[in-house]
Amino acid sequence: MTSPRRLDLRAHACPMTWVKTCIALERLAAGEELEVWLSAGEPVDSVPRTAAEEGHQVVSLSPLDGGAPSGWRLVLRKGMAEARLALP
Amino acid sequence: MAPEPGRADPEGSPGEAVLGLEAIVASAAMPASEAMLLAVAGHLAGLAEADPDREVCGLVVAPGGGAAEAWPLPNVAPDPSRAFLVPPEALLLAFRRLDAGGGALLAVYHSHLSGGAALSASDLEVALAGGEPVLPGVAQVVVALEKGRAVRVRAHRFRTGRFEGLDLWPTGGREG
Amino acid sequence: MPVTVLIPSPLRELAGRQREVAAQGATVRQVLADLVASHPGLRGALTDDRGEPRRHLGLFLNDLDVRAAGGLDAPVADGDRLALVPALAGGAPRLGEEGIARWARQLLVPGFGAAGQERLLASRVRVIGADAVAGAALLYLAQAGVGTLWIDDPEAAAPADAGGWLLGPKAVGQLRGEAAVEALRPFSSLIEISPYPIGGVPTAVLIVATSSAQSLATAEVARRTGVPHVVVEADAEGGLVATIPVGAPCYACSRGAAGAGRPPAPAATGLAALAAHELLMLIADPSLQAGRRFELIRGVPSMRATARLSGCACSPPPPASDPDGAGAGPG
Repeated sequence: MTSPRRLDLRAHACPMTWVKTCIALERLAAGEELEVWLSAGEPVDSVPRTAAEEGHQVVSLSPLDGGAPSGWRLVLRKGMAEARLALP
Repeated sequence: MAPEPGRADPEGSPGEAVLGLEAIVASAAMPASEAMLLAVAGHLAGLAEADPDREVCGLVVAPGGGAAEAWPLPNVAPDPSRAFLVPPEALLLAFRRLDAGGGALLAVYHSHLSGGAALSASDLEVALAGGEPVLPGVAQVVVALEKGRAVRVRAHRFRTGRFEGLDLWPTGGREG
Repeated sequence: MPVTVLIPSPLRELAGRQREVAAQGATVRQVLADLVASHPGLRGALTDDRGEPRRHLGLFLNDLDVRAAGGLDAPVADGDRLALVPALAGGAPRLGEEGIARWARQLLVPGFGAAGQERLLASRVRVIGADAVAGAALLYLAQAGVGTLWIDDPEAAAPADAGGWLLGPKAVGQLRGEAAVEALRPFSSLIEISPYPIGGVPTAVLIVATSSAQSLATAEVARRTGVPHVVVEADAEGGLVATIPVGAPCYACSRGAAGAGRPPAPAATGLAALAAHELLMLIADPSLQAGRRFELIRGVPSMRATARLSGCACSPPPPASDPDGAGAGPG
């Protein structure tokens, strides 16, 4: 059983928040979990939504210790779909 | 356990699983070779820190039944801060020495000056051929440096189609 | 008495646990081929997917490095001892923080990702031709993050070359390849751009030759050395981009009856950028195997898969008999 990986992105703004989350997800096998810490505002608004659009599962989204202003903890589970470069 | 802010980015080659040491110890299933790599991991971190401007590389061997030891080898890559290349004659001599002493090759190690302890695309290009490891049963150990300080030593072992990482150093618990 | 091949300890499992194995052949290359034929487990460790000895594989004939003794075609005599040494090489990932920021949009393309970007950064691309048509392709490749870009064009720049995206009027009279390297310097902070070094082994080739004869000749060399390549030929009506992964129908088959070398139309820039994009896809995803061609005729684009012309030398050889049944398919 692997422990979830943790990524603290509170110092980053969009789109880097999603870029780094995406790269980290890429390194996981389908079904594995990733924990991402995001600051309030655009990051926490957009990253969970984009992850779901890309086929990953939002397992949970909760404030970090210290309440919402210190940030949010997002846990994602990597989806099954294998993306390939689109070529007819 | 309180969350640890600022913990380093997760690492691993695409599709690779990284196992925490706690998980392995908890499963009480550590193979003897992993235990030997564990014993030499701190030493590998020291070797990498002693040469912070170039990638260090070499073999981890268990000579004739003894404890694991590191055999450093020269790096003759054109840009040794971003790549390593062992001259074949040095490797030939090392293998002959290994044979003469009746030892076993446990791992190949090298350091990254930046970029973490995952196996890079160029590491995999040399270590794999047609999806299988070129050196079966031999772990690939990477020492990750950041600004000249060792931050992680990770062993990668090929299992069921991909490399799986095991962090050897620093250990999961608190160091005295 | 045949040649004795010495197997290094980590490879002995693949050779039936033997330290020494006998093999036949008149040259080092033949001995290796015989060795791999009789011990197929060693194929991956010793040869690449074209059947050539792997890059950096060490070979010592009677303790002398074969590179000093005539290379792979060095003759061997009965009783000689050939020692093998697997390659030990690698390096840090080339995609750092700066690269992630620089190529963020590219990294997000589904199926491309950090793995694709790493492959681009680890690639060595030789671009044949640096004229006005090639300028757009060169810029595209440099901006996309090809790790090593080798520009191969020894012709002198003419006034016509100064009208493209890359070379300005000051380049006229300089060697085109060198002028292109200079012009790309502002885009080279994270990658290496240099004139093509003699003997350099690229991992992919882009051919923007100025004549059909040169296109055909250089494409054939790329095909024979097992390197994926893309060819662009621009003519007054538009032109052609042919994508040739390893093993796909060759350029001669792909081309059919294209126009003779006439001055390129403005659409040539778009074709060159498309050709660069196709090459990047081949590097980023090594599983892409189908060849295809794009045509632009009087502004109308079309695309179709390429097909081998019967009897062409690019047809794969029939499978050799395989007593072990292990097969030699793609890995």
